[in-house]
Amino acid sequence: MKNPNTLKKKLASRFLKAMKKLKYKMSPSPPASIAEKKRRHRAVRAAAYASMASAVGPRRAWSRALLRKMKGRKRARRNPGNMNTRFGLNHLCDIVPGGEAMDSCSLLNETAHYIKCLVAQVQIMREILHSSSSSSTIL
Amino acid sequence: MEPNVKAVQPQFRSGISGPKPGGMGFVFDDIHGLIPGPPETDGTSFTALLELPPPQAVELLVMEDFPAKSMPPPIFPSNIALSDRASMFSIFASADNPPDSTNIISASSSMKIDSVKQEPLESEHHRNSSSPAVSNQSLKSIKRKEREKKVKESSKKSKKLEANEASDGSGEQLPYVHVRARRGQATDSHSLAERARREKINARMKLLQDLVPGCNKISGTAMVLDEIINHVQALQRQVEFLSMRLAAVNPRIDFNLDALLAAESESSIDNSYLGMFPPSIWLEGQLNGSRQQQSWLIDGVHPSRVDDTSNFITPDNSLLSYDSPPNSVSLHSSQLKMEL
Repeated sequence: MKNPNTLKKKLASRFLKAMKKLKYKMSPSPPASIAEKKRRHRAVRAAAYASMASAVGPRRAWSRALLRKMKGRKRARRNPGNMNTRFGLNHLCDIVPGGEAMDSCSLLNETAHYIKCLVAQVQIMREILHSSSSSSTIL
Repeated sequence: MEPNVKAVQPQFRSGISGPKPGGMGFVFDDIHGLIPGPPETDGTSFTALLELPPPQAVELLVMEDFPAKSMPPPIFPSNIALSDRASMFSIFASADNPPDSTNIISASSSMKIDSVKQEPLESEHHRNSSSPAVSNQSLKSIKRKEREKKVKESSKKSKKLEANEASDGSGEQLPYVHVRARRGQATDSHSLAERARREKINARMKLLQDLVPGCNKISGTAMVLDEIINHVQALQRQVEFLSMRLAAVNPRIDFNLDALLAAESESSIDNSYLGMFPPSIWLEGQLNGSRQQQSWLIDGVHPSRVDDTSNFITPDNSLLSYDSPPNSVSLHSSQLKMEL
């Protein structure tokens, strides 16, 4: 089980590195067009998920699935006959990356770890925003 | 049996004596008419049975064609609930049980054993030796049911072992031999494997319940699953919104790693502080004036800024406890609703 401390530090460092890389690609002035804004937004989101997946590494099925998605490879749809054992986990397997090719037990495992990492990632992003916005707002 | 008969008899008499004092003889005639033939299949006739002298009642009970299935003996107060359960699990009425039924009701195993124990008592009275033995065993079995229920709830994992042993000893011991047979059918490799899988899945679901806030009170796996799905979706939406805001703010942020993390720790400690911002995070572009304004604020507020970077590890606890209180998050209101 990942210690939340180390997990968060790892995620934070990866994410910040990715954001640094992104920053050089962006123009310093605020984007004029909506398309540009959308592009930036998608880039940041992709950086978030990619950093999350690479911080976790190939140990988890969901991180492997995410990395596959990032690299552009097709989803490995290996379905070892799970449909009869699903008990209504159908929605969950759509949400968790790589959920189709897992049986119910490991799907629940992956969901738990995915939730942990998502929570940590959200906290990091929020803190970055706070630290930058609290300096900008004059209250 | 005899004291119970005496206990019921006065009740019966008091009930009858109200409307028709002369009707007692009428009732007795009915009862005497009942003696040679099989008794009727409703509760009133059973109490009528109790009017008889005990040996005759015993004979009636022992008789071959005693339709015991629909006759809940009123002596045992707990039996009504159990007979309801028995009617629910009417699958167990037949001796040869399809193995799937055990899988269907595996979650309520203790209930199942109660009902099953009651069923053979009722449906197979005629197979037993004598009614006093039946009544004694039914009393015993009720006690044993309760004991086993406790045992079962405490040790679910040993259920398999019990089932294994039970399958060997599923011989002709007592009326509740069918209980053993039910559990013995769990030694079928399919049902054992399925049971192990289901226990694993339930354990994982418990872990998830701890992880997702507000799931402990919900009972039922479907609702818990819905909650989990909602939580994951909410988290993904938060990532979306935050990335949008970050994309808007991004050109102005200097991603200096150590200082940024120290800043995060500080901002999490003193949420209400404004302008306690470490000066290493720069704002490029527009806000030079405000930066100057804040720099003297910073110098006044945080003389010990250098120490914070060395104590980087300890404020991490506050990082973790910084669980996004809604008031400090300046995000969209819909996102706040999500968090709540």
